[in-house]
Amino acid sequence: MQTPPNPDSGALLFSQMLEILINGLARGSVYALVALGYTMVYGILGMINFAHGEIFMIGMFAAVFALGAMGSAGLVAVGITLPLAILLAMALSAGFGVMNERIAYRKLRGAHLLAPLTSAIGMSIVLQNFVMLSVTKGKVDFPRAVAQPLANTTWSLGPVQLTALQAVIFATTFALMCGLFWLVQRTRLGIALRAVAQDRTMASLCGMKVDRLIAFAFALGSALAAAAGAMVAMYQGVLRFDSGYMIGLKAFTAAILGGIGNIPGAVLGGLIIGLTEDLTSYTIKSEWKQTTAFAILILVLWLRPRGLLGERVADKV
Amino acid sequence: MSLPKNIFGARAAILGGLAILTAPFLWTRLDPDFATGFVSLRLVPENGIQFLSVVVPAALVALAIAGLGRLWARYGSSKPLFETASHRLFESPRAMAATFAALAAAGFVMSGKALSLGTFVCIHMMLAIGLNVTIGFTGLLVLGYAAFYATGAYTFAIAAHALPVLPTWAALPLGFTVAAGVGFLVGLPCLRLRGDYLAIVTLGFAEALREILRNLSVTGGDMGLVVPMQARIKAIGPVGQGHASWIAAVGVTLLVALFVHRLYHSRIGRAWIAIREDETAAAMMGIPVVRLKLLAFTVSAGLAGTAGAFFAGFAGFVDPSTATFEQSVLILAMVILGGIGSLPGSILGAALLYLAPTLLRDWFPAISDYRLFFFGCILVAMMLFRPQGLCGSPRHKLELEGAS
Amino acid sequence: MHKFRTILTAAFAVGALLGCQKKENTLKIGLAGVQTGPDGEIGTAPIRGSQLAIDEWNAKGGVLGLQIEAVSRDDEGKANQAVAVAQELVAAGVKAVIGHFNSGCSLPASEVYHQAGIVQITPASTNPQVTERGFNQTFRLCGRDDQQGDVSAKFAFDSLELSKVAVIHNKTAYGQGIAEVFRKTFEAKGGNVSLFDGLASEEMDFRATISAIQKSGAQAVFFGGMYNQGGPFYNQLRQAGFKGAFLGGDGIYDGELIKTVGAKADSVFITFGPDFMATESAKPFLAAYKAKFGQDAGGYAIYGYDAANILLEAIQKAGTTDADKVSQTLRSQSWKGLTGDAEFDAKGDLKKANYVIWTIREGAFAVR
Repeated sequence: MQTPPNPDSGALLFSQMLEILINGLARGSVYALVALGYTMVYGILGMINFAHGEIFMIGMFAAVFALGAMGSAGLVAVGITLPLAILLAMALSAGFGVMNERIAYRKLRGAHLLAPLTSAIGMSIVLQNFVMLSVTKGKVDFPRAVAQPLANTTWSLGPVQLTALQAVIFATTFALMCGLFWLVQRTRLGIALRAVAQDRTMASLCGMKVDRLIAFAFALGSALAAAAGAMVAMYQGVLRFDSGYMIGLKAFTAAILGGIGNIPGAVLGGLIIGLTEDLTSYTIKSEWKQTTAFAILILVLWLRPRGLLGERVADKV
Repeated sequence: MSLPKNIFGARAAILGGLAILTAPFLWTRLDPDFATGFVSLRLVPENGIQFLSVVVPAALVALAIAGLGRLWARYGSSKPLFETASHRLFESPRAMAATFAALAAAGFVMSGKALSLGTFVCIHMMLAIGLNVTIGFTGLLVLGYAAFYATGAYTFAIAAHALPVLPTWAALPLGFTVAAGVGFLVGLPCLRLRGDYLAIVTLGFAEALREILRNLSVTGGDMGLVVPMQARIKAIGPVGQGHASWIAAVGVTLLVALFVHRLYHSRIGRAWIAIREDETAAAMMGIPVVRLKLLAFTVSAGLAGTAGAFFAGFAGFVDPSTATFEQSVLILAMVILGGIGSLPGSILGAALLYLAPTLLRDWFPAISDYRLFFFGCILVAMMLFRPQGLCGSPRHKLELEGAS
Repeated sequence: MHKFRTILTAAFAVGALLGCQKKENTLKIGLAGVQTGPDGEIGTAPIRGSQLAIDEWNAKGGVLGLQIEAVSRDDEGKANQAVAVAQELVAAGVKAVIGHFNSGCSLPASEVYHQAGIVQITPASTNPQVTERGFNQTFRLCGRDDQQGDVSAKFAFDSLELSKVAVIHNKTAYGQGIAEVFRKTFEAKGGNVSLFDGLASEEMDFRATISAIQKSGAQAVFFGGMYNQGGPFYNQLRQAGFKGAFLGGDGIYDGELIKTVGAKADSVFITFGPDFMATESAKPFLAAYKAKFGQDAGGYAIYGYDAANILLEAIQKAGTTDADKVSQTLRSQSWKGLTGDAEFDAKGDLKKANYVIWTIREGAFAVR
């Protein structure tokens, strides 16, 4: 107690804390992107889209497929292939999201909460097993030649190192979120979406094409999840048919934590969950990181049932 | 809002879309070049052909079964097949007792394999009946039900280690009490909130519990715990261990079913239904809504604990996989397939969903990898075409399909 | 009361009659292990190996004058499913079982076999507990995690001259088991385990754990887990600038690991059995396997093949399928197999389990 703290170790600790902060934020921004999909669908349909984690996983595979197709065509410049692969992954996943809604949810729109939820759980199992059966039971490697140069390029930001890989994640996440806020807050389409979320019947009476708007919301959420999927695939290096499950669950937790239905809330929730996990791994043990994440969720729901940024919603039961 | 009556209204567009979207998964193969670290894509038909050669015939069989069902509905009887059969067998306490007694007796002519399978089916019947209390009777959703199953199983396993004199039958009250207690504590904070919060909190609880079970040494970590021999179900006199387990399983399932049946037809049961139908109206009538919801959830958790403790005594072993989301979903699917709110439905749903994948695996080993895929398809198809389940009540059918 | 007893007796009589209807004229051997799901591929290999051996025996006229019927069951890699499968096999009247694959499945299943008095030989479950519970009819034809972790820890301390190592496991019976043995031996030798932690087996982002590893000042990392996590873990360690050695057990010995880490991976040290596949005597087996199943034999196929051969030979020698006699015979002598000469000790483990250190050289595993 009496000995003065060693200044060196203090600085080291500080820089490592910053590193944890960056790792945690990278992880959290991925959760945030996926959480946005949960929250948008909940905001509009009032249903929990359990298959969303699987859409994320489809995005992971789609990115590798796209890179493979470009590789076969002889296109290997990372500067071109990577953004293109992310875009293609977003497009394919958006298609899956829309198809998912069309087949499994549309007919159940007016039904009791349990029906679309069960259907979504079924869809999640179907998608996961479809990928397992059609691609592989084992893992697929994200092409190293794309990820490695990015992971090995580092920039020093004061005391911490930021890899190009993390920079790509932050930049993409930030750009996508800004785009989403702009779309929802500033465009006619966004106003229409919000109108549908508020009162579907009324919006329909005002001449809005509700079916199309809902399909659009699914496409949007799925595209965001796919972008997250592509980046996680790159960040982790491997992907598997069950890669979407845990991240889906965490992102869903993040959406609840921030207040489900609330877009900035989903982002906040994602970042908090990501940071919590990494802080737990660093300061306590990795063993406990799931437990702390869920403990925070339960605590927040206890103290502030509507989530951090959620508005007071009337009982819907 | 113009909703198409039949989802096959836009059949061609949906099939075309699916064909395009699934194309990269079905018709290509990734070739990683591990020297350079790049990957290339090759067109190969094998995967797709193999997949379609299993899925297309299966879809045709499903369509044929659906067609038969329609024929039955049109010409056979005004009541659906399952509803008629299952209601006969499980309608009243007396019918239930007779059916279960017949099942127990049938054990003497069942093969050992059927006995062990049957015991597992009974455990899942208890779980489905228990979950039905919350989901079916009060309309509350629970997504982490397996957590209480695990609670019961671990409680008994740990207690049997701590108290070497613990008799096997103690599993039932012990599992019930502890799981019900945990259920009460979990339900307490979230039952005042909107309906779907219980779903989320139980889900989080189950995930956290699984992690805790995996991390602690008292629960044996990931390997789980072996239940000491003296606490397991044993052979009694001339009755072998397999038969003893089967008779005990049938007996406990009957007890659970009767308990829930009595509860459903009591004052409390009627109050639950009132809450499910219209919570506000129920509250106006003076029904203590929160307290009754909590009661339903506690009973539900307790029944899962009973099933878990029984499992521990039967299998002689518990591990964290009893608390997985997969397990919770399986139980949920049993309730929904059988028919939400229907006691015979839960029994039937549990039997079907437990037996189908197992039998599929044994009879068609070549396609056993497809069993979960089909399971998912059945869940979706049920919700689309028969949301009230195999033997759900017409009232539930209305609710699930929605009024719009 | 009398009536009840009469009914009971009658029911038993009926049951006994029905039970006797089918005359047993085959010898049933259970083949159990994970065959579907993520571990399906690697788990099917030993079952196919056993199947191949049984086919060969049947072609030669079977054992004890009986044809052998293989009853293959999938435990899905899940413990509770393994119990169900074990009970099913016992009920189906198998005389011996070859399996299971995962340690987490062998452990509970062996309880069932023990109770039923059935010989069990596992070709791949390496957790020490499998043979540590005094079951005299449980055998293991592969090494143990403590032998493996021991070899790895000694190698780390003596040959690599490491003094501070971080130990990370995947929280499974296998991964945690081997990690704990590594820690014990390494600390007993005077080394320091600076971090001991577990990550769920589906986790693929190791960065926070890597920060903790770096903070702890570890010179090297020992990973108790499977190849699908080991690959990304290794890559992320290198990306974070960690230059130390990466040690692991047989779980990361898989061609898929090299696909993930690339041909130039350095300082990867894996404990695994000697190179049996390259021996001359394994050639006919490998060819027969490829001809029958259309695939190259995976790492554990050869163990399944040996397990079946040794078991059947022991039954032949014992002249009975009685579990006690077969167990005695198994322990009494040395058995020739493709994986070398096998001799079982009192616990049912191999007396001499060979573990050698492998490394990655020019894009392939090579004995160091």
